[in-house]
Amino acid sequence: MKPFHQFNEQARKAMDLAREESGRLHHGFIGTEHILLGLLREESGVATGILRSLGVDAARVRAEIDKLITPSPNQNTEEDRPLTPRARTAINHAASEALVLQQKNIGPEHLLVGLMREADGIAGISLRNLGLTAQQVAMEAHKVRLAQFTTVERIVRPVRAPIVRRRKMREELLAHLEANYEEELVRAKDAMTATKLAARRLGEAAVLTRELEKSVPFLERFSYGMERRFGWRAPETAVRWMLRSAGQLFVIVAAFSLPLVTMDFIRAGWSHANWLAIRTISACLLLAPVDQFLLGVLYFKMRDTLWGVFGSRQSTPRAWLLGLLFALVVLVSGVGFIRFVLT
Amino acid sequence: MIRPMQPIDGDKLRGHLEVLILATLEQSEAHGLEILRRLEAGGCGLLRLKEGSLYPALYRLETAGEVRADWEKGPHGRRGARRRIYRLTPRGGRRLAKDRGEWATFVSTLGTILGVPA
Repeated sequence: MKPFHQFNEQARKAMDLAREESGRLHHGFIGTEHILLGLLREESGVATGILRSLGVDAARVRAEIDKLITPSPNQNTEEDRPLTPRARTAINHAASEALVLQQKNIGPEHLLVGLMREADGIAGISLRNLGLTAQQVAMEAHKVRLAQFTTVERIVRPVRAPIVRRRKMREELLAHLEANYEEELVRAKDAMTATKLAARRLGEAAVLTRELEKSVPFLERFSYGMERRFGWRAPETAVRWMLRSAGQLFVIVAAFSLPLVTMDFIRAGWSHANWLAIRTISACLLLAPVDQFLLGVLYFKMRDTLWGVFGSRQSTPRAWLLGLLFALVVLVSGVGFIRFVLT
Repeated sequence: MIRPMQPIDGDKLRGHLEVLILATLEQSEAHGLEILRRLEAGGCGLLRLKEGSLYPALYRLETAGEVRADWEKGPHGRRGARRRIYRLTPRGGRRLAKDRGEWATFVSTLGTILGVPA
């Protein structure tokens, strides 16, 4: 097993120091408190810098931890110190921070936020006792990254292009900005200055937005229009979206079929054939939107249960059940359609 | 008298940027920042380009089939923001050759009129 393979050098150093701290206190394990102490001692000072910006200096944190722990009396010289469950959870939190922020490595800043998110760990308790909140620490710790996201969003969000294309632009610009930042940081030594210089090198947001938009091929402009009209709109739930698209489908079917029926009527007068046409069309008008709604909602429910996302529980039997319901809707509406038209 | 040369900025570059990019990709494939570095090295620091402007040009070239782009495959898998690696396609190569010819004619014609033999 490669422990901490995703950690950057500073985070790894902090974990080594955490092990040392645990040894110094004769503890046989590495808990959140040791990780926090390790972060405070780590030389690059990323974690101490974050805490200092929030008005908390390292000495106060150490004093706060000392209040909560006592050195173990028995000389624990165990070399292999396991992580406590809370420490492991905190590290998992740190990893998800990095994942969400699209960062390759876990650094001291992620560890600090991870410790804060593990509310019942000694590290979390001591930092909270000093008046800090997880939200506060996260905002400060990810200041640079959030500024990079803002820069990219300002450029890309207003571009009238399909979501997939914009996602591509975002990722590529973010990677570029990241590299610029690393370069500038070597020269500037100060994170916020480097962030500004890196963003400035990209150019003015409004100009770039315009240039990017001009580079969008014609077909994608068209599909952007379709996406806007029929696609998902930001805070909509799946049910609302499907309700809306059922309505849109109804209007479209009606708009195409009514003139056809009318023309047929004018041309041929009343006949059995156009009676059949009217029945078929009204069956479509009734069934298509209902199916669109039911099948759409079932599809999303099935997807969410399969992956266990958006607050739904991952469960294969439930997905099967939804699949069966899906098939049932198809069957019933198929049979219903035929019976309606033919009788 | 030799005056320090004016930097060449975005306005003068417009219309030439695409072919310049194609030229930098002739030696080997590259990601965005690397293309910029090659442009800067080739232009002896006289080229002033807002870095973001590179990407619209690259996207146009991609749509025209003159470059091909693939996401880089890092050791990290899908974690983190990836760069895209651009490479010249045969069509891009042909466009480069054609534009080079046109440029040579342009420079020699104007040079003759301006009295600056190429």
